[in-house]
Amino acid sequence: MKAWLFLAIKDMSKRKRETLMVILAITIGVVGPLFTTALNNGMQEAFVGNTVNVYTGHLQIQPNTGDNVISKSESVLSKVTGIKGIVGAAPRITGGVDIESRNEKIGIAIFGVKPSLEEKASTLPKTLERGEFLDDRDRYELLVGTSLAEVMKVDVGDSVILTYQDREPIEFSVKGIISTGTFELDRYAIIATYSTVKELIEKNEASNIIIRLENPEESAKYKLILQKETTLPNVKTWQELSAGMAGMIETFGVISMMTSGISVFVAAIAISLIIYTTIRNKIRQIGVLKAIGARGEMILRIYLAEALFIGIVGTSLGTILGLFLIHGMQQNPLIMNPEYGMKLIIRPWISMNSILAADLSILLTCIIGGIYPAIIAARTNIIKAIWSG
Amino acid sequence: MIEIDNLRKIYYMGKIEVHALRGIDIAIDRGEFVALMGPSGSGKSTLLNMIGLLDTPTSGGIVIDGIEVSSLDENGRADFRLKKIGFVFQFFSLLMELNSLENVALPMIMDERKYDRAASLLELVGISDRADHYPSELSGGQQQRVAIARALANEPAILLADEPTANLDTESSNQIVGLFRELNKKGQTIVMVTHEPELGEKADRIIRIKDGKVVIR
Repeated sequence: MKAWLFLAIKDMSKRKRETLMVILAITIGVVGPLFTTALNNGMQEAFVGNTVNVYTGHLQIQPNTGDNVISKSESVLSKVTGIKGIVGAAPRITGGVDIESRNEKIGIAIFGVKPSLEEKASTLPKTLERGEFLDDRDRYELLVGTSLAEVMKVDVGDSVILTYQDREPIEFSVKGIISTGTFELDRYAIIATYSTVKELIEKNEASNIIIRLENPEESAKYKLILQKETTLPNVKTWQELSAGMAGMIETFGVISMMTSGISVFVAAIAISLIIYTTIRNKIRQIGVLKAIGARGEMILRIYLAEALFIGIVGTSLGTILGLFLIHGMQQNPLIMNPEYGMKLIIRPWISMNSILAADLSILLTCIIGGIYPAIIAARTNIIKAIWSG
Repeated sequence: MIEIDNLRKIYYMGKIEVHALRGIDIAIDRGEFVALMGPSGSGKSTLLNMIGLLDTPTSGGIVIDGIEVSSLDENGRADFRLKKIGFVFQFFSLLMELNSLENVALPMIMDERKYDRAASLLELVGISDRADHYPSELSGGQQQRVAIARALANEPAILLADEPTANLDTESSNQIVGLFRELNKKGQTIVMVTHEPELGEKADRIIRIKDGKVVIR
């Protein structure tokens, strides 16, 4: 065994308590960034993921500027569905109506959807909380979001009255309660079949067409393909459509980065402090080591090896503990209720790249934190050291 | 064995020059047991530090075993100390996290040599029954014996001892000096700094130093 390794092992085993304390500090320093990154990812997915999956689609064809509908929307839809890489597409028609229950009357948006197409184009059918999802043949049936249902005090089977402008009110029955995790559909809109809404608000064409891709990351590429195939310029990617949330997500990201930064800083200080303290306490022994023939680089290696060992053990333990916590929260997700009965289910997750980035930055910090005191030790003046303390 | 030629050492305390050594010329033969004696501040420890390559001279030369050591670089001096010089310090200079056997084996491990001699060295200094004891579990005399065994680990050309009995009781002091005599009889060159006349008399030769100069050879 090399002398520096022998001495590093002996030194750490003699100072078990201090070594364990620093390892614990590094462990916490790793858990922090891992967990906040995972939580940030989970929140991002809860906000953006839900919106994209049920509301905007991966791509959305919108009316030309100045229009409020897509002309020849059926023809556009048939062109889109034939393109390889597109899982599904569905037209939606939107308008505004008044909804009246026994207790409340409010103005609200109404979405007309084609249930059979929605199964491939969105995850809307999977958001059913209770009751049944719509069928293409339904006429005066509605889906109501959890939050709105609470406001209107309605549930499956109840009747509500819809009024469009100055037309005759029509009675609808609540067929299902959905929980999409989006403000737009859970609180501020109701959903009926495409044909019903088309008739109700007297629109002949779709307000937009939502498209689901096999790979959402290819949205920019498919935007160009769709623009070319449909000759319609107003094709938006999910990133563009969720840009409003970008600021909020960016804020989460900044908070997450700040937490990570503090963790890394704590790790650096902890490791630097323990090695510096060790060196101060052992200055005479370092002098003796040099006197009996240790080169400066050997002394440097002893304390760098200690920093590296503490860093590796702390980082490994932190990663295991962090992943354990994340896994635990995936099994028992955080459920937030931002408004009335609306539910946001936050399941933290983290990518391998993020784990590697957090681990490597802490490990690097441990080495950097150990370098300064190790250099001091390596440069110790033998005579001053021997006569110190 | 050791040839010192016009050795000078000047320290600077601020702008004040302190002449610790003022042109020392000494020759020490192989197998000699030499005591460096003199009052406090005379320069005897500074001279020992120069011979032991712990410090560098301001001018003059030191040749040990045919090698001009004052021209060696930092690593060269460390390697020379490891292979050619054994140190015994005034205080008990063992590494606290190593037991007696490990302390003795350390210079051999550093030199990447087999360290099975460590046990026999502990036996040589009469402390083999304390091989697995840590320094905190040993008396001052026992610690100094372990330090002597460590100094002999790499079969050094010279054993340098800086007031090795200063912190020991009379009995332990006598045992340590007796040990030095035994080692010297076996051919070990020893240079010992002491201010105790009775210890100096045990050496083959006394070199007296005063004000940075040799006054009696």
